[in-house]
Order: sequence, then structure tokens, then C-alpha cells
Amino acid sequence: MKSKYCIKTMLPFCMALLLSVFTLQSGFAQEQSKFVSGNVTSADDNMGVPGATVLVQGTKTSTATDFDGLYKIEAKAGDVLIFSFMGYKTQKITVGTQTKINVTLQSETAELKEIVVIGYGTQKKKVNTAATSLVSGKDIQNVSSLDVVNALQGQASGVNVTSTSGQPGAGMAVNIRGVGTAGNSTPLYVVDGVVVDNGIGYLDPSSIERMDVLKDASAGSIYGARAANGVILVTTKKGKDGKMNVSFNSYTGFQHVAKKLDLLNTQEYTTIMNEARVNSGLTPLYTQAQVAAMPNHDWQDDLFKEGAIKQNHSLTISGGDKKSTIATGLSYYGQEGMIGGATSQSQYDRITFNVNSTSEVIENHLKIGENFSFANIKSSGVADQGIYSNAIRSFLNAAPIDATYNADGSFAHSVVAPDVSNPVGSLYYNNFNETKTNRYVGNIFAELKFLKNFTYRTSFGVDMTDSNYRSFRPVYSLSTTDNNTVSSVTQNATKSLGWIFENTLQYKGTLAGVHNFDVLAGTSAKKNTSDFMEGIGKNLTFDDFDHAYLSNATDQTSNTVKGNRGDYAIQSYFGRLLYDYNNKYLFTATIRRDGSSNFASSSRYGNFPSVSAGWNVDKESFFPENRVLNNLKIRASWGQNGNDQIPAFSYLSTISTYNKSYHFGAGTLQTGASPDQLSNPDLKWETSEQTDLGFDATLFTNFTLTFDYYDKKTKDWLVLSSIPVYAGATAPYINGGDIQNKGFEFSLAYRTKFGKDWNFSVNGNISHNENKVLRVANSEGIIHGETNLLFQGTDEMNRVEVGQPIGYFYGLKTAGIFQNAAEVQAGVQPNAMPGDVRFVDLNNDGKIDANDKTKIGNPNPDFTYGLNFDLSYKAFDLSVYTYGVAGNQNVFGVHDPTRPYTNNTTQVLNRWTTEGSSNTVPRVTYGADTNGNYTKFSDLYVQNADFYRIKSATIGCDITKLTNKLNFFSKFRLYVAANNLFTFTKYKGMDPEIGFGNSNRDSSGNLTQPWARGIDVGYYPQPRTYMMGLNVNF
Amino acid sequence: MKTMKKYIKLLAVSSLLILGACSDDFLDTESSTNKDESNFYKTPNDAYQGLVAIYDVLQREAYGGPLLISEQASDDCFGGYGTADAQSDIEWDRFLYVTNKDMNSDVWKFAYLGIYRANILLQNLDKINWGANTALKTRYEAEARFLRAHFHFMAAKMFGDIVPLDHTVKTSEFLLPRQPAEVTYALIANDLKFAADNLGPENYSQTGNANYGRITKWAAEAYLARTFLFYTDYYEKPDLAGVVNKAQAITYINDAVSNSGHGLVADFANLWLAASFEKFAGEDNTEMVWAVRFNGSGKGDWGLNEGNRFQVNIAPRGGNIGPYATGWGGATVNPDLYGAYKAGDTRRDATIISYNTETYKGNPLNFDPEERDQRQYTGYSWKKYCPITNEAGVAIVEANGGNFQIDNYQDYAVIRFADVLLMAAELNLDTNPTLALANLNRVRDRAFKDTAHRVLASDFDKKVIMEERRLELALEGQRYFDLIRQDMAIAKAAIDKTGTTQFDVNFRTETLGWFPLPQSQIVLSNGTIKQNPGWN
Repeated sequence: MKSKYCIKTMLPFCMALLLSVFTLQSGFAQEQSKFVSGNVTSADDNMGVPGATVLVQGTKTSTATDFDGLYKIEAKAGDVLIFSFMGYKTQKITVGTQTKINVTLQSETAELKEIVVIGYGTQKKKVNTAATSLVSGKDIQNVSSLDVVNALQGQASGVNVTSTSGQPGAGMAVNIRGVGTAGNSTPLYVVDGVVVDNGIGYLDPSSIERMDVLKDASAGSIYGARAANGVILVTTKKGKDGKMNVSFNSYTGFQHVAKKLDLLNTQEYTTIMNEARVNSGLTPLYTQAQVAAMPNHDWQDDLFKEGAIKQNHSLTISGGDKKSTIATGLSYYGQEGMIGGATSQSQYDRITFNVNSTSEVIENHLKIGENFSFANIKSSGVADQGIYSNAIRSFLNAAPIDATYNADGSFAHSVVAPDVSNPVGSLYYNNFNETKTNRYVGNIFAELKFLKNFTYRTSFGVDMTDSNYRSFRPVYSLSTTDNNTVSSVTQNATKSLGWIFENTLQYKGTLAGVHNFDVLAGTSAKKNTSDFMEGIGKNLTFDDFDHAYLSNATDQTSNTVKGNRGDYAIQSYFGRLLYDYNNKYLFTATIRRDGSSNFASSSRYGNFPSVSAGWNVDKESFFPENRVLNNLKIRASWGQNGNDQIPAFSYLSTISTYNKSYHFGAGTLQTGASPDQLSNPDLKWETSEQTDLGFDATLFTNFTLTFDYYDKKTKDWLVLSSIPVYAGATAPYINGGDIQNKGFEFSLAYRTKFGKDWNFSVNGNISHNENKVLRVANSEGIIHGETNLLFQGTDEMNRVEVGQPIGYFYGLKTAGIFQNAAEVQAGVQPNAMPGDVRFVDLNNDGKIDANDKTKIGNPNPDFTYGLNFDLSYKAFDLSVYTYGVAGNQNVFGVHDPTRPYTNNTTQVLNRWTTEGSSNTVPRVTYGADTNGNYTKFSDLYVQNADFYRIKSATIGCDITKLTNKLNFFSKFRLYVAANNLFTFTKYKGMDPEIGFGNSNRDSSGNLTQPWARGIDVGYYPQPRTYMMGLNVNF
Repeated sequence: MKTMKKYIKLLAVSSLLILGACSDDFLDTESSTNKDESNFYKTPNDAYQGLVAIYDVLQREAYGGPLLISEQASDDCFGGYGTADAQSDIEWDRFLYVTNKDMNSDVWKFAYLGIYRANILLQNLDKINWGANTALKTRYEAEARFLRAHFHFMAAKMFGDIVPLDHTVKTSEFLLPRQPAEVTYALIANDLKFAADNLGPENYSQTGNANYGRITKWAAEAYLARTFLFYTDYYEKPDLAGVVNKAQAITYINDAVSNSGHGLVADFANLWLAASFEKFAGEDNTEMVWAVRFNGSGKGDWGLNEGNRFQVNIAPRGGNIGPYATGWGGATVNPDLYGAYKAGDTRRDATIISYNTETYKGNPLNFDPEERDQRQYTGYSWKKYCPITNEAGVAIVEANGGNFQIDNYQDYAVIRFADVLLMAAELNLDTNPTLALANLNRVRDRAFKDTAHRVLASDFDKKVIMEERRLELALEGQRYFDLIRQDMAIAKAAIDKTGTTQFDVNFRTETLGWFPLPQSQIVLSNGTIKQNPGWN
């Protein structure tokens, strides 16, 4: 415990120390005598840039601009002056006869936006023909999140990022242009050219230069087999020729629960219970006198830790000279869980270190370099998914009449039923765990330039993870079902290594002055191996988590160990032609051929072609000079991408011995073995085929506009099929269906300045996606949703069906409440009573059954949108990032109806009591809900989940712009910020953003139905966080 | 500089070539932990493992299994469980089909899991290098076929017509329809006959026998008699699907009675742990012709099915009570069953816990159904298969480090020698009534611990045998099938109960006694599988 806090407090301190050392060094810059002078201004706002460096090339003579951006420096005619400033593009000007040189610096963001990262290279935006989205490093930092992917939410059109849990370190569901498969729909991540598996949560946001999202098939097809769900290219910050830059970024924040549920208090709860008992023909449970003596307890007060801390401190240093550049960074991120933080059972700590460097070994010919990131992550968390051992759910269902502790401080047992357990106790006893992970990602590369136009590049990259997990369950007893008589410990270790070796040869040149070619050919080979080992021990000599290690287990007979290995390999050949005629007519063609070990040798290889074209209309001579439309590019593309992400050996019928033992006599267990899964040697790639039409335009100089229409069909999804149970073995993965996503994306940015000191910009984007399943490869055209998702005994509630959006909600429609016996008589529900729900007999067959179920909701939003504002005045800046979704529904199922004594939201107070009292909320019953008011899945559970969220808001002040006493800093900005400040929604749950659906996993640990979404069974909400921070550059 | 450029070019081009020539082996990976069909089924040990995997499926008997469902459906038990538990149990009890259309999916699923594992082994037996040991091959084949028959019968007695499978199905066979009972029973009869004719004369049911639990010739003969009686009685046929005629069935069962070496345990109570405790006869006693083995090695691991997951369902609800360990209070026992035992019948108190009359260490048990949240409380619950506590009042399963829900370890007696005697009585009734009566009276003598309660030849008929089966085999998963095989009127007369809303049962004869097929499978079949009558 002590050491943990020690590291947390020491790290920022060490960084501050480092910072001051660098501060001292930079204080040596001295003013020189006058010769050349001038003004350095920013192109953004025409304001002077204070603190910019002016250097005479090849000498040590340099200066910095003053508070107004003015400088004076001694230089001779013919000298080259280098003007540089963090965040701006460096400029070089040769001194002539003049003595006054005024320079306007272009901000790097602007430069950033003129370049598109396209995979194995970059391209000028003007000649790019693909549909891509860019999020800059600044926008990533502004979001202050653990996982940089979070920054895409609301900032990149066509990318739908949904939280799957508010727990620190929990993953995000990322879908580019809709859910494209019933299998794994995660996009491909490529960091500095290294294909990275298992997400990019290891990256410190401050180390990121930019993220480019490749959305259409033309952009993605260079990544062939892995690109069907889109590609996210991450570029980390590189050093630049010029002065050393040091930047320190730090924030500390406090997390709060943004919204609690309105649960019944003791008075309301006991009233409802008594009424339910009477309705079910039982005697009331509680007298007024008893109720008066009971505690009145909102368990949510025990659930959330208010003010749980979140902090991030990072230091980055970059710089270089003509021959070599370097950028390096160190960061610490720490976050306490809002849930489980109070019992120290939820904590996330991440330390990252990264270094990028390049050196020219032979000037203009051979460059070598490396990109390397390391992360050390330590996390512990609470179970928060599904209906079993979900901490949140058990708190929301606990009765308000139960107390947390006994007088002696021990956990109180529930008074309502012997099998109800104290949720605080249950959270405490069941969540002792810790995961320690080291992640290394990086590559080394060499680039050879020869014959003027040719570049050969070779790169070897690694993606390594080693991870240790430990958990402990003490002896305890909270109820008849929640207890443990033998203490146990689980320890496991995973080591995985992926390497990727890539070679490309590129020709870049111009023929006859107008034909611009960029031709690339390459090969790539990637191999992943992983080793896993686990031991479980029972009956420990120490009964606490700190000592929970396998060697402590004394029960030798029941200790278990297991271990295995995983392999994956892919090899590829690819080529790309980028051609433009005088920047006017643009053409791209790509082909990639991939072979993956995930398929049988006969169907291993797939070919993924694409073509695209563009037309810069404004370059035409007939394009009139006008003030309205300044730029116009029209684009079109078509192509195919693949997906091979299924567990290894899915095509084989492998023999397993797990859970197949039997014993004879008094003897030991005999090992049994049989195939588990039917084989499918014909299994092959999933292919997405996409057409995209779009344009980019600039209007009235200040408006930039991008529009894309796309139609994406994913064919031959890789899914587990539903097969008749009499087949006896598990269904194989099959190429099981087709799906269509079509829609449009529109983004508009506006940037202006008014007055002398005001700058304003706004970015808006909106995406519409329509998802439709075209084929499911079985006779009925349906992949059924699993049962028991809302509570034990829930019927199928979601499914994948031809003609419908993926994972739509499938249940009964309701038509109000039976108000009296006559209405019941007239209905078709023999077990109904007045006050029960009237279900709609859709097929008019005189009974309510599965044939009356229909579509009652869709978890996929029709629209996702983002609106982001930035405003600055002199030293002050304000930014507000917002986003929202519309047109989707969630299932609000936190209340467990199968236990009569579970608490409920105050919504139940509007229940039916007498004729005319309610036509929406049925009567309450105590068990025996014979009509199935809540045990049948119906639209009573479905709610609109539209929301609009203020994701982050920041107010900052750069003190260097207020005073010149901090001259050696180029930036000293203090800010306050809030995440998740407000959410506008009508959804009744704590958080409308629910990427969760079904937590069931297969034996390989993959979600069995990853398409399931929007099911709220007690969901870890995203915290509202208030932060104070500091950005220092010099 | 020029030479350098040359080198650079050479290097660039050659490395592209090297990679271009990268061989296909690069993509060849092999599972580190699992064999596949191409390299398994080579040695006799592979075959043995394949056989063990079939036995393993027997351990899936749990909530929603034939034992629980059929007892709830019979006249001996109600639905039970907690006041707020799922309605399925009430629906099984009352022949309703409302809430969960997939309520019997486990029976269907596990029957076919067993059939698949048997078929995959049988299909691969010829690939195994047996050497000179062809006897071993025959033995494995006989055991596998017996188990395949067992799993077919498990589904057929619940659902009537099923899809009989003597091979593993291919993708093209995913729309197979159900077959008439005759087809299924022919497969069952041939398999059992093969086992009875090919297994040796060993009897493993003696204390300490290392093979106890494995299929024997005697188990096959007895099982043949059971399927013969069910099929010929229910479908009113003279023989078992044209494979085994009555004379043959009689020969088989008489052989099992006379030559198996099995016998009755002296004291009926000693067969059941919760009725005998330290006097328990042990599981490998001479009376167990065939039992499903369970053990406590799972130790709380929900991924393993080593323990008996059935037991928790019928154990007393709401906490340990007296010597009995707690469970869910399912399938509460009908007082009529308790009352059906004549005075002096030792079987009553060994079969049923009577909360109002039993005492523990001198104190009454005092079961408070309200406080314990017990639905359909009758005052009676199961003693057969009830898990027990130790002296300190802790469930023994937990004292052993197991989970009380999944690690109970009592074996499930599929065929007891008492059943063999009663089947022999029934089969011999017409041709050799004297022998038939002698078989029956062996069972009665043991039950009453005297000879004074013997049935007289003058009173002896099939009805007497059926009543004796009810009392002797109560709560062992036989009763419901004994009722429906006689005829619908007899089943209805026995099962119907009226007068108290809470316990009302109305047996629907239009169902022909069959349970509803799992709806998901009907849907998946694209109409080739139709729902049973009365359940649409």
C-alpha cells in the first residue's frame, strides 16, 4: 500500500525536478546586438509570437522573440535565419540586403491537416482520393482520457466510439461506418507502421502527433486482410531539426457520479412490498411500526466513491539537428475507480516511456531510426458485466431496509431473504485482483534513397506483452448463496510476442512536369505467439490478498495448473499506384494479397483490390475565380478489404479433454477426449466491399467542408453459426452472412477571428448509418440472441436477422394495462388479472407466444454527431467538445423481476392499483407474475437512448502571454477542465452510452455475440471529472 | 559512391525477392494443446479417452434434466422451489407451456451430446491400431453402443419421436426430420443387444472394484428389458421394434436375475446416504447394476461437471436443517406418496423427509416455509439424494472444499437390482407367474424386513407390480414413464389433483404424455421438426 502511494507522489515530483533542470539550461539564451530585426506573427491570428527561436543556420547565434513577437539578431547577408516555435512550422529565410524581416509562422495543425497519413507513407491532402478523418494531438490531449481512442468520439465523422464500461482501463467499442460483421468488428490499429493487436491503451495521449482514420476501402486496402472494419493509423511525435523542445503536461482531477437512479426509499419500498404481497394472495410483510424502526438506505451511497482521483503527468522532450532527431517522453497516469475505489479494489496505474529517433547515416541516402514505446500498467477492478456478480446491479437491487454494517463493523446480513447478500460485502470479498502488464511496442527501420526517385525501406517491429494476474477469494459468508468455505488464489501469466517485418520499395517522381507518380511495392510478414500459464490453489496459509500466492496453498489435492500456447501468422504482398495529372486528375490503385494461418491451407489466401479517383475542380481553367467556392475536390472509390480475426484453428475439429473426465470405482479421474467443434475446412476471409463518393470544399475561405456517401457490404462474415443441437458438437465458424452499412458523413469546420484578439473555430460533423443484414447462412436467416441476458430465465431478446439492423431488440409489443375483469375477458391472456400488461397478439391467433414477438428497438444509432468549439482571447482559451447519438434504443433492465424483494426505481410508484390508475406501469406482484409482465421481454424494457453530451470543456490561460517574467517558457498554461460535464437524455438509466450487451465468452475468451449492444443490466457509468492542469513548454 | 549505390540497389531488390519467396510453411501452425481428428484416434488409449468422454455426458443430469422434470410431472412431486423462482417448475408440474419455450432444451442437448461422442468414437474405431487386442475393441464398441442407446432412450421417453442418429451428422443433414418411434427403438435395441451379447460376465458392483460404474452385460440386459417394457407398453407392440421379441427379453432379464451376481442390500435405508449416514452401504454396493458416477473433485469450478448438480435442486430450501444440507427446495413431495406406504414399510422414511414428524437430536425440524421462501410447501421433501451435513452442521460438500450447488457427489442409480427384479416380475407375469411373484416378493421382503407382507398369488397382477415400482423406485426418475406407458387414462387418474389452487394439476392427455420440444430447435429446423401435440 505504502509503496503504491510513494510512486504516485514521487513521479510528478521527479518530473518537476527534471523540468527545473531544463529550465536552468534554457536560461542561457542571451540577447545579441542588432543587425536584422522584425516581427514574428502567427498566421492563425496575426498576433506576435513571443518566445519564438531565431537561429542563424550553422552558428550558435540565436535569439528569442519578445512579448510582442519582436526580435533582433546579428547576421550577415547570405546567412539563413531559422524561425521556429513549438506548434508552428519552421521557416527558413535567407538574409539579403534588408534589415527588417517579418515572418508569418503557419501553425503545425494547419500543416498537419495538409498531409494525410495513408499507410506506408503520406500524401498531400490536395491529391488524396480517400475518405479519411484526422484527429490532431492537441484534440487528443484536450479530451484528457486514458485511452487515446476516446478522442475519436465526436471528432471523427463515421467513427462510433462507445464506452463498454466506465471502469478505469475498460475498453471502448469502436466501429467505423457501422457494425460490419456479427463477429469481431474492431478496426485495425497501426502505430508508426506497426500493426498492433489488443488496442492502443498503452499510449500516452501527449505522445501522439495525430490519428488518421481510414474509412473507405480504397484507403484501407493497403492493409488488405485486416482492414474490413477500417484502419486507425497512429503517428507519435517525432523530433525536428531545430531547438530542443521540452513540454510538461499535468492534470489532476476528481471523479463524481453524474447521475444516480431514483430508487425507492424504505417507506416506498415497504409499501410496494406489502401491496405486492396482497396482490399475490399473501399477507403483508411489514407493519408501520416495523417500518419506522428500519434503516432508510440508498445503497448507491455505498456504491460510489465521490471524488475518486484521476491524474496524468507527462514530460516530452524533442529536438534534433540536420543529422538526427529525437523525441522522448515519460508519463504517469493514475485513476481510482469510482466503484470499488472506496475499498481500494479499483485502481489503474500506467507508466509509459517512449522514444522516437532518426539519424542520417549517409547524408541524403541512408536513414535509420526507431520508434519505441513501453508501458507498465497495474490495474485492479471490480466485476461489472452481465447479471451475475455485477457489483452495480447488486447495489441497485438491494433493499433499502438492509443495513451495510452491524454494530461491530462486520457486514450485516440481509433481513429480506436468506439468499440475498450484502452488496458491499460481496463487492469486497469477490474483487481482490491485480493485473500487472508490461507492453513494448516499437520498430527499427532503415530508409535508403537511391537513383533520385527510389526509396527502399525496411522495418522490423515488435508488439510484446507480458502480463501477470492474481486474484484471491477469502473465506466468508454473506448469504446462503454468496459464501466461500475454502480460500483460493489464482495466478496466471501471459507472454505474447508479435513481430512484423516489412519491406517496401517506392518510386516517387514527376514525368514531363505534370505526371506525378508514387508507386509502392512491398511485402509484410507477421507472427504472433503467446504462452499462457495458470495455477489455482486452495486453502491458503495467509488469509489476505497481499499474501495470496500459489505457494501459500495447502490443499495439494485440489490445486490445478494449466498452460497453453497460441500462434498466428500472416504474410502479404502489396502494391500501390498513386498518380495525378498536374494535381488535377487523381488516381489510386491498390492491390494486396494476404495469407493467414487462421484458415486451412486450401483457403488461406485472399486478394484485396481497390481503385479510386479524384478531380480537383478548382484547378480547371474554367473554374471561375470567386469568393464563395475556393476549393473543390470530388472523389470516388471502390475496393475490397478483409477480416481474418477469429480464434486460431477455428477451421479444425480439435480434440479437447476439458470437462470430459469420468471415474470408475474409487479410482482417480480418467481423462476423456472428443472433438468439441465441427470442422469447416472451407472457412475463408470475410470481405467488405465498399463504394464511396465524396467531395471536399472550401467556402468563403473560412469554411471547410467534407461530405462522403458510402455503401459498404460485408460478405461472408466470420461467425459461429447456429446449428441444430443434434449435431452434438459446437457449431463451427462459418462464413455466415452479409451485411450492408450505408450512410453519409458530413463535416464542416469554420474558423475566424474578430476584433484584434479574438479567435473562434467550430467543427461539426454528423454521420448517418443504416445497418441492414442481407444474409444469414442458415435456413431461417437468423442468429438468435442468447437467453438469460436480463435475468435468469429471459427469453431471446436480440438477434441478427435478414432485413433488420444487427442486434435489434426482439420482443412483445404492449398495449397498455388491463383495467378491469371485462378487459381481461376480452383479451387473449388466460393468466392475466386486472392491472397486468396487455401484450399485442400480432398474428391474431388468440394467444400470446413467441410468434407475436417482433422488432421493438434498435441499439444502433441512426445518427452520431459531434460539435466542437474553440475560442481564444489573448492569453485565454476556451474549448468545448460535445457529441451525441440519435435514433437508438437501450434496454433498461437493472431491476431483477425474478426476486420479489429487489428494489426498484420510483417509476414503479406509478403502478396500476385500481381501474384507471395507470395504463403504462403494471400492478406489482410478489413472485408468481403469471402474466409475465416483466418476465416476458417486451417494449416495457425498451427506451430511447438518444443523448447529447458535453464531453469535455476546458478554460485555460497561458501566463507567458500576460507577463514577460516567464520569458524562458514558450508556454505556461494553467487550465481547468471537466469531462462528461452534462448529458442531455431522456434515458432513465445512469448513463445512456452503453456499449455492453452480452458478456458471455467462448472457450477462447472471445465474446460469443459481440454484436449485442445497448443492454443495461446495471452499467458502470462514465464519471464526471473536474480537473486542474498545467502545460509548460520551453 | 557509385559502388555503394549498386549495393543499395542489390540489397533492396534481393530482400524483396527473399520475402517474395517466403515459403508457405510460415503460415502452418499447429495447436499446442489439442489434437485434431487427423492425429487422434490412433491408439487404444485414444479410444479409451473417447469412451470416457461419452461417460462424462452422463454427469450433466441437473436442473432441467429428465430426473427432475419427470418427477415434477409425475404424481409424486410438485414444482416447488422459491416463491419468486421461474415459472418453469410450476409449468412442468402442471403441463403448462407458457414462459420459457426452450424449457426442455437441456434434455435434448445433452442426449445429443452423448450420441455425438458415441458416434464419433464408433466411426473411428477402425482407424485405431488394436494389434492383437480385438477383444478390447469389441468391449469399447459395446460400451459406446450401450451409451448411445441410453442417450437415445433419454430423449425418446421424454419427447416421443426424435431424430435417431447412428453417425455424426454432416452440414447437409441439418434439416433431418424426426423418425417414427420404431426407427429409434430399433437402433436402441440393436445397440443394447450388441452390448448384452458381447460384454463379458463380469460384475463390477462389489466394494472396491476399480471398474465400478462401467457398463456390464447385466446392465445391458436390464436396460434392454426397460426399453422393451416402455416401448411395447406405450406403443402397444408385441416386440421391441422387430429386434427383440418377448421371449428374448425374458431370457435376458432372467439371466440378469440369476447369473449377474447382483443382489439386494439387506436394509433399504442403507442405499441412501441421507437415510443411513454412517450405516451407508457405499455406492459400489451389490445392488447397483448401473449408476452414474459423481465426485467432488470440481471444488467450485463451474466449468467442470464432475459433481452431482441435481442434488441441490431437491434439498431443503433456506438453509441447512437438521442433518440435511440446504438447496433450492424443488420438486416438493406429494403427501399422497408418503401416505401410500403401508405401516412397517421401511422405504417410506428412507425415501422422504417428513418435516412435521422427524426430529434431529431430540428436536423437531421446524421448517418455516414462509421464512424459507418455499413455494408449494407440502411438509415433505426428498431424502433419496438429499445432501447431508456433518456433526457440526456444515454441509459435507463444503467441508470438503466444494460448492454446495455443484460439487455434491452422490451417484445416481439408473438401474438397481430391485428394479431388475420388478422388471423380471412384469415380463414373466404372463408366462411364469410363479417366478414373477417370487421376484416381486424378494423386493417386498426387504422393504418390510419380514415375509409377512408378501403379495399372494391370488392378488397378483400388473397393477400390483406397478404400485410396487412406485414405492420401491420413488424419486428415481421412473414413475412418470411407468404411468404414461400404461395409458393416458391411468396417467391422468394418477396425476390429476384438484381442490387447492396452489397444488392443482390437470394432466392433458392430448399431449400423449410427451414433453414440449425445445422451441429453438423447431425454429432452427425450418419446419422439418414439428412441435409435439398439445404444445403449440
